[in-house]
Amino acid sequence: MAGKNFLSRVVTPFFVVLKHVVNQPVTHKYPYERLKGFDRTRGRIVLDIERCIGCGACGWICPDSAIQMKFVEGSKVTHPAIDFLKCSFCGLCVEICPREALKMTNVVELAEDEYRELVYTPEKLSIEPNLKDILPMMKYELEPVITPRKMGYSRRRIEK
Amino acid sequence: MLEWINEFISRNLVTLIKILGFPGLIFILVFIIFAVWYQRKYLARLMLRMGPVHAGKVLGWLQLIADALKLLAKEIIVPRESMGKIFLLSAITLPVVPAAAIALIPFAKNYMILSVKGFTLPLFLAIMTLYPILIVLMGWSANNKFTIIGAFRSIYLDIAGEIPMILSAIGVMLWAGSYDLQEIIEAQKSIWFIVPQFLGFIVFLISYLAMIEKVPFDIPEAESELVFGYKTEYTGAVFLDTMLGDYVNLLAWALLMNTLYFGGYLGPSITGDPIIDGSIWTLVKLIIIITLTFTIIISYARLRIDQAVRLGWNYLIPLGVLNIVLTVFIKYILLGG
Amino acid sequence: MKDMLPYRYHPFNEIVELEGGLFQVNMGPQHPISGQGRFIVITDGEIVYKIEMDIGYSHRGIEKILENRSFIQGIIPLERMVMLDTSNIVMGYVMAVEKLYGVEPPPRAQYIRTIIMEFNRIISHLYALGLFAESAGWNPAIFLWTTADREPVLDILEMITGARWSYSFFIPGGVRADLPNGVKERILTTLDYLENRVRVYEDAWIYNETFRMRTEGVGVLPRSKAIEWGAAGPNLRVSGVPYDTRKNEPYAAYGELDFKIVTHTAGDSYRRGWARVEEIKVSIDIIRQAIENMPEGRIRVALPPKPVEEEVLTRVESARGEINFYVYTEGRDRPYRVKISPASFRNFYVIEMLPTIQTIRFADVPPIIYSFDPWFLDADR
Repeated sequence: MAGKNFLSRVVTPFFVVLKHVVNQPVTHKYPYERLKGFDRTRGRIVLDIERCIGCGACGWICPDSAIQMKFVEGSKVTHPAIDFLKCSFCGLCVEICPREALKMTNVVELAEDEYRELVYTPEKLSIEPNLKDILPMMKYELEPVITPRKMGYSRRRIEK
Repeated sequence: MLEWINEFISRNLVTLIKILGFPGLIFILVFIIFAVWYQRKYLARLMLRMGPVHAGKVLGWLQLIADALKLLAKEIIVPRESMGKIFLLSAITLPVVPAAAIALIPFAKNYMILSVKGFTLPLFLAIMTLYPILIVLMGWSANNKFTIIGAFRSIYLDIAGEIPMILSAIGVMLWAGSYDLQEIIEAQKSIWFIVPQFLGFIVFLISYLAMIEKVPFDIPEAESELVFGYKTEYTGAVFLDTMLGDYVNLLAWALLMNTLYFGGYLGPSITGDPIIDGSIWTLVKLIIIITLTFTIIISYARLRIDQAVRLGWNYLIPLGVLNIVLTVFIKYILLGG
Repeated sequence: MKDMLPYRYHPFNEIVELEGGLFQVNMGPQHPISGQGRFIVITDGEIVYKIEMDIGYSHRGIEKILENRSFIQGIIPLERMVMLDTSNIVMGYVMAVEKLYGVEPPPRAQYIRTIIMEFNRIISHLYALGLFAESAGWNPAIFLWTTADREPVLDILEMITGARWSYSFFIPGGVRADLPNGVKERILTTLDYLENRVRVYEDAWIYNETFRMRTEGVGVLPRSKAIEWGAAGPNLRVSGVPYDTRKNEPYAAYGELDFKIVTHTAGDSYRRGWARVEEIKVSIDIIRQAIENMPEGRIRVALPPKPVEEEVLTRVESARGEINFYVYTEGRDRPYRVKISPASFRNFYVIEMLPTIQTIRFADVPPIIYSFDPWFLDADR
C-alpha cells in the first residue's frame, strides 16, 4: 500500500501527475486522422441489389422500424431502403439476411444537411461509401495498438 | 503643442517604456495570453489530451484570440436586481489592483516601474489586500446567492491565507535584513532564500495557492457547488475582464514568490546587459513557478471552506511564527547577524 | 418532522427562500454537476436539511417499449437504459427470456458473456471514479485519465462486438459471434496496462490527502440503514454487507470462477470510491480466469418456437448494484409486461434519507451524491 504516511500522501500525487508530461495524448485530430475500426465494426450498411430477393426479413426484424421495402426501376421485387436517422446500427438485418445481400462497412460518417438525404433508397444504399470523398482532409488512419509505455495509450498511424 | 509632446516623450522615454511596454501594460497582456495558452496546452498534456490544435495551425495559438473575440461579441447582461454600476465597475477595476502591485517588482537591477526605495514589500502586500474587497463588491452587487456565498468564502479564505503569507514574508525580511524588494534580491546572491527559509516557503506556497484561488483552494468558485462563485453573473467582455483579473493576480503573486525565494532577476550573465539578463532570468523563473502552480492545481481535490480556514489558522500561522523564531535564532544568534 | 417541512415547488429559481430561514437550492438540471436530473437541496445555512432527487427528466418508457417489441428486438432499446453498462443490463433480460423458453446457453457463450460484462463493469466504474473526482473539486485530470483508460477497453469491445457503446451482442440462447482472432493477446496486454493504471489512481487519488480529507467520514451509511433503505451494489458492500449477486446467485460463468467480494465496514464516501477501484482489480482477475478456463464449443443454441414458462424473475449485478427483471408473457414472442427495478433508483432513495441520520454540509452534497454513482437514465428508465 503506497502513500501511508502524511508526507507521501501529499507529495506523491504531485509527482504522479507530473509524470504524465512525457506521454502521448490519447485523443486524435479527427478530420485529419481517423480510427480505422475493426473487421466487425458496425457502420453504414451496403446493399448488394443483385443478391437481394426482396424477402423483407430485414424490415421485419428491424427494432427501430428504419427499413422500408421500396420498388426499384428495372427490378421485379422490393428492396430495403434505410432511414439512417432511425437506424441504431445493431446489425440484426445483416445477420438475418438469407442471401447475405446486406453488409456493414466501417464508415460511420453520415452527417447530412437535410433529413431526407439520410433516407437511403436502395440505389443509394448499394453504392459503397468512399472515405476519400467523405473526409477529403484525412491524412492518416489510426490502428489501435497498446504501446508498452506505462502512462498512456496510443494508436499507430497507417500512412494513407 | 506637438513640440511639448515630443519633449515629454524624449524626457520620459524610459518611464513610458516601463509603463506601457515591458513590465507594464503590453507585457502583462502578452504574458496573460501566453499563460492561458500555456495552461491549456500543459494541462492537456497532463490529462492525456492535445488541447487546441486547429486554430492557427501551430499548436493552436490562435484559439485564445478566437475565444476572446467570441466573448467580446457577446451581450453584456446586467441582472435586473443587481446594483448595475458597482456590478460592472468592480469587475472592470479587478485587474488594476494586482497590476499596480506589479509596478513595485524589480524585473532587473534598478528596473521597476515605480522606482521607490524602502518599504516596497509591505507596500506590495498592502496593495494586494484591496483585491478581496473588489471580490466582495462583485459578489454583493450581483445580488445572487451563489455570488454572495462565493464572495464571503473568498473573504474567509483570504484572511486565512494573507496572515500566514505576511508571516512568511516577515521571515524573508528578517533574513535579508531589509524591507526593500530589490535589496532582498541582492541579499540572495550567495544562496536563494528557498534554502534557508524552506519552512517559510512551504507556508508561502500554501497561502499563495489560497490567494490565487486555484485548486485545492478554489473554494470561492467551487464549480460543483456554486456554479462559478462570485463570477457567476458576468457575461461577455466583463467576464473576460474578471478572467484577466484572475491571471494578473496569479502573475503578481508568482512574481512575489520569485522575488522572495528564487532570487528574482539573479542568474549567470548571458548578453552582458544587466537589464536584459535580469529580465530573461525573471521570465524563466516565472514560467517555472507557473508550471509548478498548474501541476499543483490538477493534483489535488478541493478542500471544504472550514478545512481550508482551519489549515490557515491552526497550522500555517503557528508554522509562520515558528519560522520567524527560527530565523531570528539562526540568523542573529547562531550566525551573529 | 423533516417531512412536514413547508415545501413549495419552484421549478425555475435556482435558490428560493422558504419559511423559517431555510433555502431551497436547485442543483440542476442546468447546474454544472447535476447531469440529467435535479437535486433539490434544502439548507439551513451550510447544514443540509433535506435532499430530494428529482428524477424523470429522461424518462423514455423503456418498459412500455419492450411490450411492443419481440424479445430479440427489445434488446436494442433496453440498452439505452444505461449506456455505460449495457451488457450487464441486457444480461438480465436475456436471462429472463432464456428461462421463459427453457434453454440453457452453451458454456463458451457464458464465458464470453462474462468477459464482456466484466469489461463493462470496468468502464462503468472508471467513469464513476472520474465523476466522483470531478464532484470533489478536482480539475478534470482524473476524469480525463479514466476516459482515456476506457479507450483500450472500448477497442476490445469493438473488436469483439462491433460497437463501442451499445453492443447488441447478447441474444437469447447465446452470443452473436465467437471471439475474433488475436483478441486474447490484446485482452491480456490491456489487463496488464489497466493494472498499471489502477496503481496510478491509487497513488494520485485514493491515497491523496486532500481527497481523504474531503470524503472520509462524510455521508456515512451504517449497516442497518443500508439494509433497511435498500442500498445496492458497492454502496451496500462497503457498509459491511457482503452481498453480491454474482456470488450469492451465480449466473453466466460466475459460479465456476473464483473471486472475492470487496467489502468494508466504514460505509463513507471515501470507501465507496475506494471500493470501485478495488472492484476494477477484481474484474481484471475475473477476466484473466475466464480467458484461461474458456471452454471450446458452440456459442449459440436455437430457441424453441414457444415459451414454456409464463413469468420469470431474474437478477444480475450491474455496475451500480443488483438489477431485477420481472417478465410476464402470454405465450407469444413478446412480453406482456416487463418490470425493471434498477439499482440507481434505490440508491437515490438512500441519498434522500441520508440527512435524517447525520449532519451534512452543503459543500459535501456533490461528493456524497457522486460517491453513490448515480445514473439518472438508469433510474428514469
